[in-house]
Amino acid sequence: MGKYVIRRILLGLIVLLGVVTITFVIARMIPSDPAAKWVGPRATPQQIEEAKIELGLNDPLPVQFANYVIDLTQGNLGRSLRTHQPVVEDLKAYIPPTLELVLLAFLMAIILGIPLGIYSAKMKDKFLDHASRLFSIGAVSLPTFWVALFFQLIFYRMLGMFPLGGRISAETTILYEIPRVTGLLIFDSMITGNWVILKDALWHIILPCITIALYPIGLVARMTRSALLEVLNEDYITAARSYGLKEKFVLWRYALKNTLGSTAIVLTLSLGYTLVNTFLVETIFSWPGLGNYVATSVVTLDYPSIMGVTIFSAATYILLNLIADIIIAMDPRIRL
Amino acid sequence: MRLASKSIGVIIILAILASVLVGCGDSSTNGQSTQTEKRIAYYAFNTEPYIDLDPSSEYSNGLIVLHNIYETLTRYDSNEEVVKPLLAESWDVSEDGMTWTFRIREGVKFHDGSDLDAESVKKSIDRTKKLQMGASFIWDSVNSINVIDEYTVEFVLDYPAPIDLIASGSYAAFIMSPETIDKDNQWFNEGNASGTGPYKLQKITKGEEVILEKFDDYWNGWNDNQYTNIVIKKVAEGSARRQLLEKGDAQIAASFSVTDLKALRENTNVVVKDADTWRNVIGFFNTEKAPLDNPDFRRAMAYAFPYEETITEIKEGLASKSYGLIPKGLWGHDENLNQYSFDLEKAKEYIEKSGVDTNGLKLEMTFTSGTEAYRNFAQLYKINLQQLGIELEIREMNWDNVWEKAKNPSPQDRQDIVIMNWWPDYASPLSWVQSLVRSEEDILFNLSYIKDQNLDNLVMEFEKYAATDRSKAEELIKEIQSEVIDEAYFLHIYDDKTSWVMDKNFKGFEPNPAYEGVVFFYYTYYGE
Amino acid sequence: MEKNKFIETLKPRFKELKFSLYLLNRNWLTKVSFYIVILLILLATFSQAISPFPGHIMDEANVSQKLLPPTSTNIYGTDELGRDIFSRVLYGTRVSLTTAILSVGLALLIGIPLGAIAGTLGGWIDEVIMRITDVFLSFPPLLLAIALVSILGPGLGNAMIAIALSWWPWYTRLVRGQAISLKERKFVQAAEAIGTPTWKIIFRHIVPNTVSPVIVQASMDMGGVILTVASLSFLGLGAQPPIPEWGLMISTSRNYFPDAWWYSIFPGLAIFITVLVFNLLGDGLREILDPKTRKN
Repeated sequence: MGKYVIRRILLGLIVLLGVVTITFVIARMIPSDPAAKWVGPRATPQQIEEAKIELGLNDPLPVQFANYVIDLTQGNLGRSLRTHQPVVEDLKAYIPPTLELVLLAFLMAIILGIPLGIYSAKMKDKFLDHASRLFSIGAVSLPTFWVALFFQLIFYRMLGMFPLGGRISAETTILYEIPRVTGLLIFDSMITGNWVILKDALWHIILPCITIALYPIGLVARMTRSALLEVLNEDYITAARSYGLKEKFVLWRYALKNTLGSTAIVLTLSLGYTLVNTFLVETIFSWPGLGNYVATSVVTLDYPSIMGVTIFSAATYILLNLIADIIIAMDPRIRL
Repeated sequence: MRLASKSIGVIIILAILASVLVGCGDSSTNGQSTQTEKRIAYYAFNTEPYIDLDPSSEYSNGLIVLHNIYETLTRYDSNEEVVKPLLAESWDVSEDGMTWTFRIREGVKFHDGSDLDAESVKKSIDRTKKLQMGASFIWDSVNSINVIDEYTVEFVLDYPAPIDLIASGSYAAFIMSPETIDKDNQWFNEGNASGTGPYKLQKITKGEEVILEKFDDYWNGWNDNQYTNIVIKKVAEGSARRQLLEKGDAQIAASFSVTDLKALRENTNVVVKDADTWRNVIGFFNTEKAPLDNPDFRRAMAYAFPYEETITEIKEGLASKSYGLIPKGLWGHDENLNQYSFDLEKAKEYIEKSGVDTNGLKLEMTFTSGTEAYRNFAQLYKINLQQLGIELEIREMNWDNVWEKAKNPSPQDRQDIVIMNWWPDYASPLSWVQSLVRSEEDILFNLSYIKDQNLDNLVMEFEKYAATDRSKAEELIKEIQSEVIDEAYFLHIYDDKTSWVMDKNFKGFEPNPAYEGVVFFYYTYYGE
Repeated sequence: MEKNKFIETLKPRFKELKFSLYLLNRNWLTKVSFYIVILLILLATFSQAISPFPGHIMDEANVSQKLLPPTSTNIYGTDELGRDIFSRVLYGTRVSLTTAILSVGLALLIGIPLGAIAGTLGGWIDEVIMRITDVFLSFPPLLLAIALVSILGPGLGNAMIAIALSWWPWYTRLVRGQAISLKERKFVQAAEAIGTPTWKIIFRHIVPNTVSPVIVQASMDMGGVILTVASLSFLGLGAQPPIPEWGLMISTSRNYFPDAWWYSIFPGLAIFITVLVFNLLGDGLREILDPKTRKN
């Protein structure tokens, strides 16, 4: 076991290095002049030359790469060409809002997806199964940016029930001190007992959260259904049933427990896709998170930011995969 | 059964939670809080409110924030077309235009309590010049700044330049507290500022929003109905900005699509103000690449552009016809200049005259993505050109890519036409001719790659007289525009207008084309 | 001799195919999706002939008729240049399907050989190829495509390349797995025994046998690819105006939303329905081909 873990970790690091290399190569191939961007839109050639030296752009590529990797190990992701701030600082500011959205969406996925999956499994091939299968696959087929616009249309414009965007209203920001413990507004306001902010934050997060949650809900439902179906066909279930144990009991104690592992893993692996959806949706809801940051960086070709976010996401993904693999290795009963 | 009831239970709880929140949620704040001491004005801006909060180097959107925190020596009044005193009370200039003396206003305090004096003015501008970032080049003519006495400062120039106009500039002309001169860029971007302006920096959220609060000791004093807190926030979606205004959550916003504006004009809760700007949209023909190196072919291309349709249908009247390079409202604008119009017959004539074979001809047009109008008129232009047998390839990219391509050392690898909008750094037509017409060794903004000795001479003459003899300068600039139009170096597409939309109670706002996008909140107030 | 042998190997395949079709028939949801997919392909092929305003697809505009709501002439309304949205959405089917097929095709072209090589040869080649796929798979999906398009420049062609470069690792993994188990099969070992050169083994024996599961996987992916193409175009990185691509139409429509709501609804609906039926079909196919289902 130990050997396996160490081997996996080493593998993870190698992959990370590969990611960094490719990101670096891609970033350097982007046809635009970082020095010009650093100095500003109406720069003089002289200002650009000086910026080139300051940014180390005249060094040979391998040297630049080496410097970048060394900086990485110290936690330095470079400076954004657009904001002139360290990328790490930018990330620190923009990650919590996105994290909040994603976590809440996953929570919804579990709360709504699992029951849906269970129903589908129980009513296999009957109408309800087809309907829920349609729903799950439908949820996965929706273009999220389209859904986001629609929710805005219906819930803000027509019904006036929820706010248009943003994380918290301007007034609340001015009148109250925002608690800053983890950066997750909902959590922070709950633990500091600030109910006004909590209410405001919840009210703002609902629409974007539901938009993003659709995909994981669909995924979890389908996963739960197929995992449950597989488990229900297993011998020990048949055995339990033949012992006269009630169906409900069988479902809960035996079947469900074994599917939860797969569900957790499938959610983790869906992180990549969910993150991407979050990016698309954040611009529409003016949500000040990573997605918005990436969207602006992409549009302005701010390659240190793009690299920073890519490496961060890839690193997170590799880490989560690592954890997932280790869990599977520890418990061979968990299957995908 | 247990399972079913459990899930139903969860759903019911969620539903109750949702309805509670909905019921309690305020669906509108009208910019006024229930506490009477604070009066908040919310400016919904279409992109991030600033790139850099350093007054010496910021060269982008940040001016909308900085002009409320800092002030300049003079400020341009677009109604009267002159600069008015602001931090400077009066000034003189020597005969040769090379020495300017300003008398600084007394009794003005910075946010940190220090006093405004000639020394602080010198230090501010010296800092800007030294940093050599952003628009600092506007001070290039300045050789030295001398403190004559406590409230008198003198600018000694290397060549004549209109310092009174330059000091009113939208960028790089801010006066900051002497205590902040030694601070670095990072300090400013952490949210620190000390200017003489009516508002202080209260809170910033990187690239998202800026909150300002009233500076009680502002030298010009306060009334009761003015705003105490200003929120400038990024709201990227036009539909979002519109909805904020309709619900009364925001006080002012701009940059709306034609459909949004139509709806807003009919809404009695908001007021729409159309304003001229000094921004114009220009198409640049690549004169170093065939067939656009041929003047007759360029003239043909100029006759093929859908000017009318662009202004009436695409901009729905939110633009005025361009007459040459200089936009309406700035001196040098001349409506007597010859203009091209959409005329396919004439276009065909000129193609014949040029001798260019349009069989299979493909031209590439580039522009910055994100502007609805560009995309639309580009498509109309493409359709027109198709009737001349020319295929236009439209490439929307982000600005950096557009510019990179335009600066490519090999003319063949550049685009054929690039669309760009231009506006001056300070109230003078100099900007257009210096940056767009004058020949360049290293390509910057002369994206038609004009290398015309005659024009260069005219521009040099113009620079000389701009500071000293306004009427002679006006003659010169008309000559320059005349030649530029005759040679069809550019497509003069339109002079842009902005529509400001505000809450009906938000009063006192006057759009000023010299300060693009800036709302001087001090002059606004809440009125019934 | 070889030809007869070939036909012999086909016979059991036919039987399996017939069985698959039988299963397909029983699952009505999948069946319906299958028919809709065929319909979409037909629409894509004949879109210009069917469109009420074929000129509006790209070559003409009618600006004075801009942004009109749905009427009997323009059943989906008109866009910002007065073009008929219905004709453009119809043509968009062709754009989306072609782009998706080409992207997947390119991905297969890269992925299959790499996977076959990795699986058959094993050893350090396998390790290297697998690590490379790991690296590519660690990138958040759209982000890699975005980065690639940033280098290549926006455009449908470049979007296709970017998508292919993001998608190939999945097929490599799949083919590698297949190759590993195929390696042990009798006919491969026989070929090795008679001294067939390795490359021939890979391309004549292994690859053809991996093709069917890969094709199935690819068709299940179509939905996702179409969505990716739309997302890229929505971000301005894929199709350029005046190409009537669904994602591009939605992003353009944002300027006129919510007044010209029809402009956003119909292209979005088209994306949804297309992706939905492909996904349903794919899901149904997976169940049909699942050995467990076939056993029952």
